[in-house]
Amino acid sequence: MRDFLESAVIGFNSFVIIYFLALNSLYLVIVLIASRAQRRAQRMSSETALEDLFANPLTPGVSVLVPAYNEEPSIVSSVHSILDLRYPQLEVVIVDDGSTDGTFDVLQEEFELQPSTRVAAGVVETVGTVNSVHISRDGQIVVIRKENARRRGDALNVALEYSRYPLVCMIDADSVLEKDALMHVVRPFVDDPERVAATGGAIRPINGCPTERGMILEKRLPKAWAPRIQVVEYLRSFLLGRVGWSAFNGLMIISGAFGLFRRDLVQQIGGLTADSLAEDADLVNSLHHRLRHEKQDYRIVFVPHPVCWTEVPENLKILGRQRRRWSHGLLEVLWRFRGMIANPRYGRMGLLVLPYYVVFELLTPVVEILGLICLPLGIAFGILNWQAAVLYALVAIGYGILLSVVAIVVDDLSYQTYRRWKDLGILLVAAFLENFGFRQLHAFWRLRGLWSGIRGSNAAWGEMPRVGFKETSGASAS
Amino acid sequence: MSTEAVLLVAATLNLALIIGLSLSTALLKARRERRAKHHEEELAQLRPVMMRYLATWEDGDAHDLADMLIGYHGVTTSFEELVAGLLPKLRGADRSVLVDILRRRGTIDAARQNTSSRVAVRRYRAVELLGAAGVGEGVPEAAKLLADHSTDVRLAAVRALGRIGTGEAGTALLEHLDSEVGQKYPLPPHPVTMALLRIGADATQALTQALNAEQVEVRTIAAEVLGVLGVYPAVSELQIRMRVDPSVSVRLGATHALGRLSLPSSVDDLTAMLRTEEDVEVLAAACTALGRIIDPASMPELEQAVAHPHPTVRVAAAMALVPFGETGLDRLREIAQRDAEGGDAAREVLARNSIATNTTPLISL
Repeated sequence: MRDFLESAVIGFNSFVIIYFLALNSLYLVIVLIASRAQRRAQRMSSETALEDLFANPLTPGVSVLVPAYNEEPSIVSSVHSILDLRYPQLEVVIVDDGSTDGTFDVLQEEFELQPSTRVAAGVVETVGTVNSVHISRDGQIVVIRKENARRRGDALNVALEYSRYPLVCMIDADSVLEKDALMHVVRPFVDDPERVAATGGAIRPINGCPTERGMILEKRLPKAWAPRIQVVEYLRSFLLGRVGWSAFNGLMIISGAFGLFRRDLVQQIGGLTADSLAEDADLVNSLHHRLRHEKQDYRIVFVPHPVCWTEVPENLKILGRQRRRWSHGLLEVLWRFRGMIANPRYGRMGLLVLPYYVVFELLTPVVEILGLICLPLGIAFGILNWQAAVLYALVAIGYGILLSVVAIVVDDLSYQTYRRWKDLGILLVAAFLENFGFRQLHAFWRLRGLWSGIRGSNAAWGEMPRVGFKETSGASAS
Repeated sequence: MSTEAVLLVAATLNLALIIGLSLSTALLKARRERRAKHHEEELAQLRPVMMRYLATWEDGDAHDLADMLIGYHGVTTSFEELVAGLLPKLRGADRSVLVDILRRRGTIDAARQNTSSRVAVRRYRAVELLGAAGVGEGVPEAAKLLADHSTDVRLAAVRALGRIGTGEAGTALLEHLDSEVGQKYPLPPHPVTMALLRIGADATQALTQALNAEQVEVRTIAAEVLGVLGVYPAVSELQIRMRVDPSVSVRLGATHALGRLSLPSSVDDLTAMLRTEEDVEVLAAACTALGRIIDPASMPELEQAVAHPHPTVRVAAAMALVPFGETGLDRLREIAQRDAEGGDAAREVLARNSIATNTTPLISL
């Protein structure tokens, strides 16, 4: 029995270490591809291209779709930040998704909204009943009040129905965009209009940055360690992961915080899946599914330039809820598109990207938690000697830290987002600290999300309490 | 080698890489900051000389300053960067003297040579510089890069030709689009339209000819740009394109253009379109065009279009009635009473109009 237990523990620990080596090595390959793409993009960036985009009267208009549920503290700042964007032709379509706070009232007061009879396109099915439509005096802001269907996807579908322009930009109500953000994400569409179906922008945590009227005055790191660690996570995910996947057209997720899509294509696939918990990933996969199915030549592009800033949870309870929802949502999406997995008909999406997400994203928390249980058990029962156990842990943790450090290096070389020496130091410390407590907690949250997905729990689009941005003056901040 | 030994090597390697990367980031950051400081110092020296030169060159006694700028051999990028930043802000003679300095420094020649470089980034930067300087002698090199295998370089060449802004640059763009090479290395319409718009009047002849080009894309671009540029002599050719072109996108471009030109002579063709055209977008564009021309003869056709089965056409037609003033608004109020046949579009437009003009609603909502 002991022999069996011993082989099982040693075998599992070896599996865990091989799993993490494979995961991180694959990630390292993606990182190398991403670094190359980043370097090229940096060296061939062009201010004149953005100027031309802005000056051209034929630049396509953009409808910015903003679903809002109890966003009273930050909604006005967000809308101002959208209106202040440098873009020639845009409208903001806000869906007040049955808010119980003063979301609509602050909008009405700030933008002098009046009732409107704007007609819905009638192309995409929606769930929550629309109660009223309101429009600002200049017609640039449309606010739709609807019943809450507890689904962000439904709110976005309603916004899509009332939008007018050929490109639709989906953002979170708490997102703050950089001045040229829209131009950066629209540029791939005008440079390659036949093929580009969607673009996603890089997201950074806004916590700690002072803002005024929805504009960031200075890029600073958050004060608390939980959001600081999330800064490192976002750098890793956006600067390396998504750039790498995008380089070979394998982008599976465009963050709901900031993504731009061709309106006609979103309408063709019937809009967003209203009852999905990961409606952003679901939408991108629906596009892949349809366009690959129709054998169309298309691209889904990630724009690495830091363009969108969003509030991340400071509180571990809220963070845990968010990560459980992400994990649950990922399971939902992979289950919905299971027919694409390992299916050569869907090219690299079917053969590489989706299997990667199953093995190295969905199942990682399972392997990680089992590894965390087996390692001390092995030591306790004398199956593993403690030196070997420590070395196992060091290798796994070290590889994780290494990837985070690479992301920090790439950001510093390419964008110098955080200019102070102190910030560089904090980021490096956060990359280290992430592996002691946060990472394990994260794995636990993801495992719970996975479990609730397997059980088919009806998790709803969770409310994330906003603290509002740190306004230096003007608009309200709580 | 035992498992422990392998793990020890891996852990040590990880640690070394983490420390190495962290230290090299710090070193690179320090070097970058030092360079930036040095660069700023250089610019601080160069800027006043450049400004003095721009202020005094007309007097003819600024040769020593010119020589100083031409012979400046610090980190050359500082000089070129300063000039590249200034060029878009300057017009006329001031711009020409700066370009002349660049020419005498050999920067323009070097850029022309670099357009043949094997390295895509060099070709890209070279053609960007030729565009920023707007030198006519750069047209052949920039035109050649329209067929570059790198998309980024091709697009930079398009932008450069737009900034060079001569008739030859416009012809090169349109010829490339309408050739076999253009089909192999297609250029997206948006940057090309912007380049042609920047070229402006010098491109009108080539654009009018391009209305009869073989490629649909070329005819569409030509129609749209002629409209934005306001080329009235092209009206009859645009009317023909709108009536007979087999391509929807060309008909749409021509309709947009005729709307922008807003000549009463287009009314007959536009109203005829409302009866015969099937494409929703073209129909909506024709309504918009009629709303810009504001000829009372077109009102009955627009009223019919408000009852069109497609909401896009209904709303466009209803909006086109607004510029007709009280007559148009009266018609809209009548239509708004209907449950069907465009009542929804009329109500929508009336409500929006009341908001836009900051008056009380024209109908109760």
